[in-house]
Amino acid sequence: TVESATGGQVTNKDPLNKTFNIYRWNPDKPAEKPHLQQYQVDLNACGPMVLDALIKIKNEQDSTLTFRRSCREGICGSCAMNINGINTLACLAKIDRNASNTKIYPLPHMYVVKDIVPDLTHFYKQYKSIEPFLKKKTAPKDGEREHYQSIADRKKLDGLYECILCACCSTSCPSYWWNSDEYLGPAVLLQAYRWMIDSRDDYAQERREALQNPFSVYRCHTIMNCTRTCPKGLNPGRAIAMIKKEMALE
Amino acid sequence: RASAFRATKTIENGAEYIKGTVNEAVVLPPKDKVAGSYHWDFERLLSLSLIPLTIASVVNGAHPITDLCLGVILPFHCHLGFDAMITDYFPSRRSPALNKVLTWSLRGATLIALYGCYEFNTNDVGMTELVKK
Repeated sequence: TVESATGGQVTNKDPLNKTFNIYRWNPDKPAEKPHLQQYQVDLNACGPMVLDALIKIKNEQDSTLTFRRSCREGICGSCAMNINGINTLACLAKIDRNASNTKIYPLPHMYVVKDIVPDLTHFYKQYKSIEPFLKKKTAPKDGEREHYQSIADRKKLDGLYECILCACCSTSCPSYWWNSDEYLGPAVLLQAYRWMIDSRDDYAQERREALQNPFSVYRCHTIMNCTRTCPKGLNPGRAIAMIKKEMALE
Repeated sequence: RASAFRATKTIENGAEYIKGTVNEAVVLPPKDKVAGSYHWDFERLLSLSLIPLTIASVVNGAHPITDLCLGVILPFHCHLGFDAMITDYFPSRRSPALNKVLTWSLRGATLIALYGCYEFNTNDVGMTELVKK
């Protein structure tokens, strides 16, 4: 039966039990190989999203299940994981009520800290390397404290600033799988482009020059897994193409 | 404690490619326009030029000039394509010896292909005729 928080009338629903196959690995017992653990969840007593199921499992069945989560609304990027083969945010991925089971894996080709928590250290270091902050060559004039930007220039940032650095796109890119130490990956390149075309930034050319090597940008072969998997609906593939175009025309 | 087999590594084991502390940015490779945007421009230039060239060969039939251009551009185009695959799967920082072996065999193969096309175009029927047959 389903309880109602407001105490109103509730229809009794038969339990709809579905299986969740979740990747488990414990760093405290590293000799034990990673394995899939199965959990049964009554979907009629659970919220609609995969994160709701994960929290329910952790609360009621297995409190050792470890995963990152924070905002539960798709804006923080913590709960990025591979659900049924697709990299998305668990808090935005609806549980498929018709499928018999749901497979939950960590983000592909990432070192695993525990269960479905990936190690994103290198990802953040790569983000830092593109200098994701405003750089000016001249100090602002006396009395002017804002960096003015026209509405048209601000529109250019739409589709770029919304990135929450969840790493879904970069970890879906085969080029990033094979060359993550030197290829920056779609997420970082999207942000690199966001700063390149910000009209308030004076270092656009230096930003492009920093990427002049065979690996940082040019390992992208327009596979486009990134755009396909972005849980926020952004288009990193297009941003990378624009970077290549601007670098070519220099 | 002994652990003979680890399927994944933890931060303590060290993901080897992480250089420096968590607070240091990744160091980007040295800047080189030739290996960077010029290489990419050249690749796309060859690819683009192959389109009208192939159409011209198909429409006009065999012609010494289109055969000559095809015989030069096609081997270079294929060389660049295979070279990109070698850089992707056997980058020099990860497999230096294999990378060298493959790159030089590719260069040898391209030279042979170039020579072969030249021979074929000058002494034999030519590439377009060959494809027609």
